[in-house]
Amino acid sequence: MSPWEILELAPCDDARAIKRAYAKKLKHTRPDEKPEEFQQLHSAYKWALKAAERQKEENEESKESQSTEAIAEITNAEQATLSPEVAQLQGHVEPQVQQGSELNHQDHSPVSPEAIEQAPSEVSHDLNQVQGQETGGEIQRETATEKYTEEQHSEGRDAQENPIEEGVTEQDPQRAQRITEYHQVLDQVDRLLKEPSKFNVKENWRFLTDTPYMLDEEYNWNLGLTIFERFARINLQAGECASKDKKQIQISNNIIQYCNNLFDWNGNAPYLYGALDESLCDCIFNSLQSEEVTVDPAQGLRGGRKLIRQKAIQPEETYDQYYFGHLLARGVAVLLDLLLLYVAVGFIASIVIMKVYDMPEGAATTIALGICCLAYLLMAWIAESSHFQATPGKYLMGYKVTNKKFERIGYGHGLWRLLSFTLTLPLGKIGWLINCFLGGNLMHDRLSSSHVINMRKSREEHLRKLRG
Amino acid sequence: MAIIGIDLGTTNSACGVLTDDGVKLVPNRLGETLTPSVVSLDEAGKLVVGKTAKERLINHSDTTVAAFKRLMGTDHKIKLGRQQFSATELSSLVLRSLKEDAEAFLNKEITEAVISVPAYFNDNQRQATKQAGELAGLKVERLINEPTAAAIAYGLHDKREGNFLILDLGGGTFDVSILEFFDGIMEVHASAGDNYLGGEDFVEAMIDSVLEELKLKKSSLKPRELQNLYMQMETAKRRISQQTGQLLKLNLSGREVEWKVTSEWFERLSTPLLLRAKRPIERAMRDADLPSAKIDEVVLVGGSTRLALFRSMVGRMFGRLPSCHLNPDTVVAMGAAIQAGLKEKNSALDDIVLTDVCPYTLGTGIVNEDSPQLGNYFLPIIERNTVVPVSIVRSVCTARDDQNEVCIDIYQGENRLVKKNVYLGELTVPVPKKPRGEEVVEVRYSYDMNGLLEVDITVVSTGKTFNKLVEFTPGALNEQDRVQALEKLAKLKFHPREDEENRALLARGERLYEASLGEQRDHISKLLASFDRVLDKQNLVEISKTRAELTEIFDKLDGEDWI
Repeated sequence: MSPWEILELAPCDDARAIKRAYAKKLKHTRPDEKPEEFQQLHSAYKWALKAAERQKEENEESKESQSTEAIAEITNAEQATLSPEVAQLQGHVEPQVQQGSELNHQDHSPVSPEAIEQAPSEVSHDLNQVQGQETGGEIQRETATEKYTEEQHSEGRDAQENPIEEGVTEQDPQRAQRITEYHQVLDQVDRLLKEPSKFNVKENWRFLTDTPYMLDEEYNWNLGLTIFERFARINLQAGECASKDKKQIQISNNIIQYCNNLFDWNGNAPYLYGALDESLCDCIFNSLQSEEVTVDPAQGLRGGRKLIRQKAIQPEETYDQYYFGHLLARGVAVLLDLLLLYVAVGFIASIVIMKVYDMPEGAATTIALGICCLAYLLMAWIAESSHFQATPGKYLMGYKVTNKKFERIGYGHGLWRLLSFTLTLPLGKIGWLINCFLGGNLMHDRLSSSHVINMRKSREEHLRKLRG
Repeated sequence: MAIIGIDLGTTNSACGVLTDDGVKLVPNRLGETLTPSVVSLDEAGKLVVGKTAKERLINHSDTTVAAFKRLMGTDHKIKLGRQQFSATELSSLVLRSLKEDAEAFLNKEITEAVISVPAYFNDNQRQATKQAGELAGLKVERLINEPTAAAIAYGLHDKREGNFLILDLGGGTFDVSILEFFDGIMEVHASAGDNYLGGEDFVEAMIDSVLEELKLKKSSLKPRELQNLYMQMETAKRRISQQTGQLLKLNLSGREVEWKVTSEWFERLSTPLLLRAKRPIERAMRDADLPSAKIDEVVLVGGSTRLALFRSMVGRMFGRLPSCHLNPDTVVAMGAAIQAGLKEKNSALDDIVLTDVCPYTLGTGIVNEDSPQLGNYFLPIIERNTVVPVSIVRSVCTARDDQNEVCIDIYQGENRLVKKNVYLGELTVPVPKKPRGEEVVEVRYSYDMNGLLEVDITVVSTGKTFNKLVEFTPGALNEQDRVQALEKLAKLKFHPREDEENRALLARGERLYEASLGEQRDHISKLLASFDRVLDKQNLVEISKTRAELTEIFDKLDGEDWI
């Protein structure tokens, strides 16, 4: 069925008629009752609206093509009288059009130089509107032309040399004020950027929000762009210095993040890439990527004796292949654990035994060692069953204790594992010998159906396989 | 049996019902239509909700909590006295209070409700809201997006056609929706929002600024001082456009400080928040593909849209004054009530059809072979602002030779990397072993009118379909948790309804008593004592007379405007 048939309508370019037909059909195709038919109807409706629009445009174009020349002449005349800077700027802008043409597909581009070049009629039209409107003036004014005047300022760094400004001041005192403010703020930015000891303190950047012009799109975009470029240059330079073993301080990620919140660099990424060098943009966007932005949900919560936070559970990474821990490394891990326990528990215990029971040092140490071994069993049980899934020694090795599904074992299962371990202990040396031939999956592991996995290796192998 | 419509807000909640003579807002036990979303446990272990609880926030902050809607859909717990509560449980207590109000108002039992949620609430938050309703003994078959509810109220009120931009800045959330009305159809074109931006954030910013200026740490303040500061700043915020240069006396860390609230100061600290508010507006406009000239009306909803700064920003963005001729505090509840009414009596359904969109992209993770260290890529299945209900299938294939399982994890968000999106759950299905890329599974996402997602997976070669989902919903309760929560909540009882006005007055008196000094303090203390005596006599006429007198006196003494 064609979209027109679904709508029960003859093909037409009348949007109103399409809407009426859709409304009529929709009353019998309720989204909650007939979801599939509704989807079909809705897409037919959207399609028909688009088709109608296209049809209309075509019709108009054929009419218009006859009168375009006349319009072009008029707009040129208007341009000359209404906005001297448009004509002046065209000279500046033209070389950049190439760069900007990438932006062409964006309909709402904060900087679109070609808007000036390709559609002079639009610019002058906008300016006409400005004069007619009072409340909405601010918005209408940010045509592409003005954006560039400001950028010219910032690139030239010296406002007074620029002849445009005087013309502007007469035309629009408010804008002039905004530009002055812009330069003042920019000066402040530059001063701050010269002091590496200060520029990574977030509080020092608060001045950016002191002006209400921040809410003005034109001001915001231009200031954002300039600061973005400076940040990028500093960080690129710092990066180069680092490769030559020289030290230079980078703008830290939290400052970049802070400014991103103010200027929405992330949202404006395509325009920034259009306006600046790719390497500059990459540099900042890479730092933005690495920084996680999460709003604390508890912010603004009021009252209550205490907030008990639960960590968000991230889905565990899974690999296709897991590697058992090596027997030797596991031995080392146990020794490390014992050493740690001896320092933490055994040493103190031996001193206490010596003082309280008045025993000779040798005997006390032996008892303390025994205590250590018991403590080890206890610790292994708790630590391996906890979400660390490893004793400190195993943790250092990058090992984790898992069940057969490579997930964390619970405390119950952990106890069973502990029991299995103590059961295999009486085998003594024979036990060790057997374990040597078990390929890292030792007797007590098998008995308690748990694994000791080399997570580090598993992950590395996994990544390697993906890459290669 | 009536179905009620509930607006469960961050700061205030309201409840409405569609009757034969139009929408009626349900008055609470104090006869007011707004009930502050504050829960408190009093000394007797009884439950207090609403204005009385809000008064208690100052002096009994360890057994009182507000703005917990922010924690919906998380596992965080809040300790009140000795008991722990999740946001879902706290919300259910507010809902219970509203439900009882409605039952008293309509004189019949209520078992079902339509609850409004911010359009930008994610799946976890929606599930939590639904569960809160169930814990309160309300069947929640329909969740409605807040801006959509507001639009329904406006649409029925005005009967105007055209494109509407609804901006809903509430206590804790900000929503943007673009809708079109024509021929009784209400079509949502796009929705966007920020789940952590609202009036409370402005107060928070004010407090941060004050504390920074005075070189104090929030943690160094006593709870009472902090809550007092909140109250004073809330009042200052509400008055900022009427009077500039308000002088506040702040009591912080045992010393008294004078603080001048100027509009420049407020403007400065609001700027970052207003910038954040602009983003979703711009995004919704882009997604709806409408130039701002085609927006016929900008409608403001939510108490925080009273902020003059916000209004002028919107005015500047759209070159016209936004309209808000319905009360922004209650319009959402009215819309929810209409929706509830429509649901109840099917006959009226012919008037209006609503189509909504899914405000965020839903998808799954796929193996990222270019840069594995960044984690999997996000494969969108339902794109944001697709009209719902919708059901979309996409095929994915095995990534490795002899793979015997495919794990489909479900994410929601806009980032190209899954790890930066919200994880909703996963489903693992077995597939026959084959060389990589040869086994295909079809993943079907179905998104319903309530904004809840269902996933079905079909293995093409075996034809088997799976839909048992391992859900990962923080704060969600399984059957056992639910029974436990119900037991815990059932133990909490309200005071008798008719006492509520006296309690609210006493709580207010108590707050004023603690806030004042010297003679005034003695005066309040005497007034409260005499009120206690009157209450003891249980003479209703006398009680209401004294109550009226006392309210008048307190109104004069009380310089705050924060409830």
